[in-house]
Amino acid sequence: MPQAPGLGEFETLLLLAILHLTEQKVDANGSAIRDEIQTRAERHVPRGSVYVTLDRLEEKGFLSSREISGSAARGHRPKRVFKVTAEGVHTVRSAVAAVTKMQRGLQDVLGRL
Amino acid sequence: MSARLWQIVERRLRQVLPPAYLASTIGDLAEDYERVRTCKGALRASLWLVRDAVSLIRAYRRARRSPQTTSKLMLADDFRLAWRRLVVHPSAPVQCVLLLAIGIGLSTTMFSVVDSLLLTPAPFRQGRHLVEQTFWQPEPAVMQAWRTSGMFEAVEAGRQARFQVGDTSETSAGAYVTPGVFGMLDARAVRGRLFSAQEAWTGANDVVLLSETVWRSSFGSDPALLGRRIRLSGTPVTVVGIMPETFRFPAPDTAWWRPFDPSAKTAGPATVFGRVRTGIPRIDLERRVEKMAREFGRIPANYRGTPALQPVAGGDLGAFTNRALWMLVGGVTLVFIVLCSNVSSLLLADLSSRRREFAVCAALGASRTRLLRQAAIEHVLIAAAGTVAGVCIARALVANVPEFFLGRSLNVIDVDHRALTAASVLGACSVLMAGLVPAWLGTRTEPPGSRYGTTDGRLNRTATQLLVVGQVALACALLVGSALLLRSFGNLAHADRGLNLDGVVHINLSGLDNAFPSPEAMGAGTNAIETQVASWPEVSSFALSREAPPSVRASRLEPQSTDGTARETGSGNLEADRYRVSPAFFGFYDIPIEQGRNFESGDSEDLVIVGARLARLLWPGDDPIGKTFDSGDMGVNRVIGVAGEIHLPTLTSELDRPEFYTPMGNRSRTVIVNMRCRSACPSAEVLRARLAAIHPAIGARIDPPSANEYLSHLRLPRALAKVGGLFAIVSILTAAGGLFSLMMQAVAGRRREFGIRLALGASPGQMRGLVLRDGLTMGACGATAGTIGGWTIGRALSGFQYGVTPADPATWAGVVGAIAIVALAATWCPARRAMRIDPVHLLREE
Repeated sequence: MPQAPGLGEFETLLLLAILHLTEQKVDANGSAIRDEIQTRAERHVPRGSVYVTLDRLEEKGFLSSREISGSAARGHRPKRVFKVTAEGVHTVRSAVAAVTKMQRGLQDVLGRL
Repeated sequence: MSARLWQIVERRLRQVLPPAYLASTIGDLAEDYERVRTCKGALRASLWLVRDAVSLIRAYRRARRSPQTTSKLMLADDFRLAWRRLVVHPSAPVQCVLLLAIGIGLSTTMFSVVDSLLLTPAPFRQGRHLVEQTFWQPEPAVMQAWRTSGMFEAVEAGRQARFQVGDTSETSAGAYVTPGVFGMLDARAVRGRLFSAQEAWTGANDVVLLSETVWRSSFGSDPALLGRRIRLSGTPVTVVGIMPETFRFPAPDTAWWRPFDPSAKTAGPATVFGRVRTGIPRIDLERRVEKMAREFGRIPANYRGTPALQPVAGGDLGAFTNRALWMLVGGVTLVFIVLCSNVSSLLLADLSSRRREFAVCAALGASRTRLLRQAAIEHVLIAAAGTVAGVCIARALVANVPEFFLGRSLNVIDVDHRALTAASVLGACSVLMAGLVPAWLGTRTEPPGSRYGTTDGRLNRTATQLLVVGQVALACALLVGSALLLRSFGNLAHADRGLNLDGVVHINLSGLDNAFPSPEAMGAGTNAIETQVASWPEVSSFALSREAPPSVRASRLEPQSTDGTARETGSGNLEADRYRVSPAFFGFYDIPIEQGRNFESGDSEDLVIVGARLARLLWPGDDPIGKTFDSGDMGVNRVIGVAGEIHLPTLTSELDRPEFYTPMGNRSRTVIVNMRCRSACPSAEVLRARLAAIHPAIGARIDPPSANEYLSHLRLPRALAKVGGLFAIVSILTAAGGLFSLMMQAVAGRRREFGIRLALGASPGQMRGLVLRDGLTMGACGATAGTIGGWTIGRALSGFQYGVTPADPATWAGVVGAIAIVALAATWCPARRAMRIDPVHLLREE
């Protein structure tokens, strides 16, 4: 049975957040990803966890990053923008599909999500 | 403020974040900070900044930790948990630490003493190559033979003596040594100088070296002492040097050294010291030395052996003491085994009671390795604490080593680190082994409710019972050994000596050589001394003699037939003590004349009174009166009387020799006044002043009373009884503790059973009987097994027994009684607890 290799719940949330930002044509840097998760998942996320997990996902090959020049608001410091790789997309799809399959038939218990 | 805060944040982030992402991460932080500051104000923004920065730092620090670091942290957690558990449940760990400490302390001390006394060579240059041979008098010819033999690098000589310091009556141990001794031993003075070669010659030898200890205690470390004249045994001598405190030669307590001239005619035994060349086989050396002693030494013709060649090691430490020490080493090993097995049984019991805890931990996800590691860490902590406490005990014990052992080593007795390491490692191994095996079994657990606690619990319990039975057995064996030693000591202390020593004081007169140079003058002088002593008002009774009991001067005897030829007695190389005494001697010491007559003034020196034992040995079944025997240098003696036997109660039976008495004669230059005083005896100064009236050259020294000499033979038995008793007490208490713990645990484990029995109508007394029976059965099993060990130990100790045999019924009855009492005492409390179980209370608990 196919299984997402080593993808935790928070990692899945991060990948999904980056996909959302990419779809919205917004630069997916650390702050934006964190805000996206907090807004959509309504969950407080520590900044440290976001950045460390981003590094880990990049190491695993699920993400790629590039630096673009920063604005004056950030003291002209570069901005690190993330993008989900094809492998990352495949992995997150598998993880989400597994969850979706698992919740089938449980509407009575879980309610409509 | 915000600028300063940003500086701090940037600095801290720089320390933690990967440099490649540092700028972008801080940029994100700065952008968000500006947004928050705009919305919520500077103060809230600062708080926000701190919170997020801390979150980043913590996260990156956690991420940076390697697997090793994580493992170290887990280990630290395990240590913390183990410590917390030991603190919360200290009973078993504290007992284990104490037992382990006692075991390590005792064994380290014993092995340190043995190492110092027997194994470590004398603390001098090439100490293993130093040998000595003691002769009856100085032997310059033997020394010369040693020097020319090519077997020795250096040959020196010396003899031990006791010096009277100043005008006091106290004497101090000293030695006469040839000046080359210090060079041979590579010894140097801490102050002043050593002897020069010329100072060995008679006439130039009025110099002395003294120990740093005496210099500090008696002269207050006075630097002006060097060059000063002091009186030593009445002779003025000049102090030329101070020897270091650690220089102990030729005896451990030697504190004074004077030059020795081996060619001078002096009385008393002298020792030849030599440093053997490397590569000389020991057997060759001994053969050559024996030959040289026979060829050049003045060994009496009827002496069948030769003085033994011995290593310079431990003063008068003989083969007998060596054997005693090895016996004590065996004893301490048994004690160590008892203590370690007790620690093992305690840990087994403790871990058995924790099976439920392990099962719960396993059910919650703890791996077996983790649980084993947890148990191992607890035991490592116990072993470490036990070792530290053991070191402290060893240091305290070594500092209080019995004087008997302390005064017999040229080495300074200190804690031997090899012994300490070995004892600690063995103790730690016993703890770890005792811990890991039950932990392995204990952690093989399924969640509670399965086949929990059946076979493994029984295994642990059986192992614990076997350990306790073993402890009782070893304790029983040690108890038998120590009881035999104790009874031997009691027998020795109360043995009949055959003479009355109450209140006897010995005055040793010196300088008689100069005062009375000829035998005729000596005879007249002895009479004058006798008259003088009789006039002293303090003296109630007295007798003159050349030797005082117990004598150390033995003569070899050859009994003769009536035709004057030598006769074989079957008693081998018969030795006897010779006393040259005045007629008043027998009355003074209450020694009865059982047959024949006492001496009379004017009796010739060939007449002799023999002790009853000597008479029986020489002429069994015959009337000894009129018989003759050859006593070597005294020639042929004719028996005129038989005196009551006097004894020297000692473990070394060779020292308790038969004795014979001859008239004082005029040949010897020593006179001992044996006297009893009415109240206080006159001081040495008063005596010297009174004797000066006879001749100014006569000196007087008050010797230690004979009773001291007799008591000195009790030192080894006393030390053996003390140490053996200590071992036995430690073992029996340990075994009792083990039995007590086991029975308490058994009662705790059988509460439900006892509750059901009580609910079904059993009486509390029956419950008590049940537990008592179990405890006493184990005690009986241990005692039975210990009987074999006790018998073996008793046989091994046969050389150290006096008036008692290994099968002594009183000893065995005492040991069995002691074991029974101890087993009963150790079981009584658990039995009481069993009878107090309330079934209703138990049901509520369930």
